[in-house]
Amino acid sequence: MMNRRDFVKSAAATGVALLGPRWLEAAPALAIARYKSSPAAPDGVAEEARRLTRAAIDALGGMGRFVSKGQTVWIKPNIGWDRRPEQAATTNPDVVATLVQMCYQAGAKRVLLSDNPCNSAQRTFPRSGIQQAAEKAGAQVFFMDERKFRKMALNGKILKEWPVYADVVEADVLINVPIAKHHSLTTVTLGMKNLMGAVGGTRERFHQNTELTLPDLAAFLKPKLIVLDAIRVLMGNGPVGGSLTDVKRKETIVAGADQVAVDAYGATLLGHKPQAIEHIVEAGRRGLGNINFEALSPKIIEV
Amino acid sequence: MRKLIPLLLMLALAGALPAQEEEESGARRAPAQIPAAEKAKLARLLPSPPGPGATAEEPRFYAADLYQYIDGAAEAFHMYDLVAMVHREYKAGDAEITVDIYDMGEPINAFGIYSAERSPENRYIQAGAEGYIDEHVLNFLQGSFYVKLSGFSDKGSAQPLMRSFAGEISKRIGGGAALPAILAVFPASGRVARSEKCVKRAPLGHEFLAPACTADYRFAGKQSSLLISTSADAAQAKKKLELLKGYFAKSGKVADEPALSGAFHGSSSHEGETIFFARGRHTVLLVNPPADAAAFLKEVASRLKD
Repeated sequence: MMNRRDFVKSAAATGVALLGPRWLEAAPALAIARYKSSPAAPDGVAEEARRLTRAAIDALGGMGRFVSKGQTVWIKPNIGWDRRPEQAATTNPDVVATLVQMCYQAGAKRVLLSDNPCNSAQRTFPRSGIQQAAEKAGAQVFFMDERKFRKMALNGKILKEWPVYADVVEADVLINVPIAKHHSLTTVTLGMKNLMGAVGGTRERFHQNTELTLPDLAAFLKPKLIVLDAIRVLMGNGPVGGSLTDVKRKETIVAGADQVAVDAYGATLLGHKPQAIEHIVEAGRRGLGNINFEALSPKIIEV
Repeated sequence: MRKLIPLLLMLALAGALPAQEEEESGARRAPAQIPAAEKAKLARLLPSPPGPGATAEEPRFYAADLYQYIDGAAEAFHMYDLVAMVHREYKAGDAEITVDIYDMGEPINAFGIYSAERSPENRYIQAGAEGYIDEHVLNFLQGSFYVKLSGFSDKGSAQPLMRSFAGEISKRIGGGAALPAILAVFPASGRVARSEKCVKRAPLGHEFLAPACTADYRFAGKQSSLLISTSADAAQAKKKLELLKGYFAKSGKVADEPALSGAFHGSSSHEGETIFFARGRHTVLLVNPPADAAAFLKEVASRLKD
């Protein structure tokens, strides 16, 4: 059976992407969905999350562009912290649940969902609301099993070999669903940093050269779709946060197939030029995507 | 040979003891192994489970491996010379409380990391030397300790429990509940509330000024910053003054400041206008000073006794 990586290689070799349907050729690489209002009630925020997520994916050409019938999808939100959604340290649960629904609607056979959190998974999964929302939408949510991390050849500049969760690599499609946050070490945590939750090993090794290790990981995992939750944004004291005074509403969902472009736009939401964020610059330099997101003519949707 | 045994034992023990490593950044890295005495010291500060039916998990201790618990946020704690921290989770009814107590070694370090994280917008409460609360967190500092509580409850019981825990931890820490003495030097008039910070590394981009404390001021609508760099003795403070004079002479210009005897006025495209002087073991900078800074400068100088 061809796994996701084989498919990516095969598609690149045969030019499948260029021979795809006409709508695919016309679809933008980046979509930015913004909510016109800022609801305060939990139900209102949930509605916002659902509508923005659908609008952003639809603007990219629909989930069918990324997920085909019978495929296994791995969804990777940020569930790293023992925090509630309003604290904006973890991905909005309704964004995640909407993506699960859209994957099944596109014909996915299975949607798997997990994260390798910093705090105990037994606390972070339910506290974030993601476990309940994703399971309700039909995803298989589980805590990572230590035995399933396999040392894999990343062949990166720093990371030559690293333990990666086997199921992530074996899935046909990887969808990365980070939340936009401040990060005291890497300035921002967006899509590429969120991929650290798909691997094992010691985090300190990553932290010694994040400008190189994060692109190493991004180059290896190559998520097919990135959906950045920027409805609530943690503007300071990240990645842990906690205090609601650090949270600002940005009412935005960014979606795209270009992980550098999504991160580059995400950086601007936190008040930074993407050119000032080392790992984004390095990833662009390596050809993992386009740091100049404006060049992709992002589709902007007001909801 | 018998006389050598104690010496060899001492050397072996010294090798086995966790030494604090000096990082390239200048931050002292906490030891990889936490000494038993440090663990015991932190464990004594933990509150008891609150009442019958309440439970608490085994405490966990972190030092150099703090990144395993708080990822990249650990770097800021190491910058302020973290010694070790203890983490413990409690359950009482539907409330779940997490207690994190960081031993920062010195009160100035505890204030440094606390002030780096606080916001003037927080809701401040009586807790330790200073603290604040919101729906899910209660943070405070006292002495050398920075205490962070996190609480969740659907029935509203987390906040009262966090307050109760804070009171118990504060009692267990003991000693005075005052902010570091250097902060009293900053005049209150014109000071922006909760803008005081203490910086361990490269204040204003100058490594030689570390460590320093700063506060923001508003004079007639214009923002200024007062920085006080503390040295071991007056000779070092004077040396910093000379380094500053050299810096401004090279990057802009420097002249005597008439507003205060012994002060200088430097200007450069990077820092803008700065008045600086030394008193005792302190070097003082007033960045972006108001037009008439004489009274303010004299007040600061008069408050620096040593």
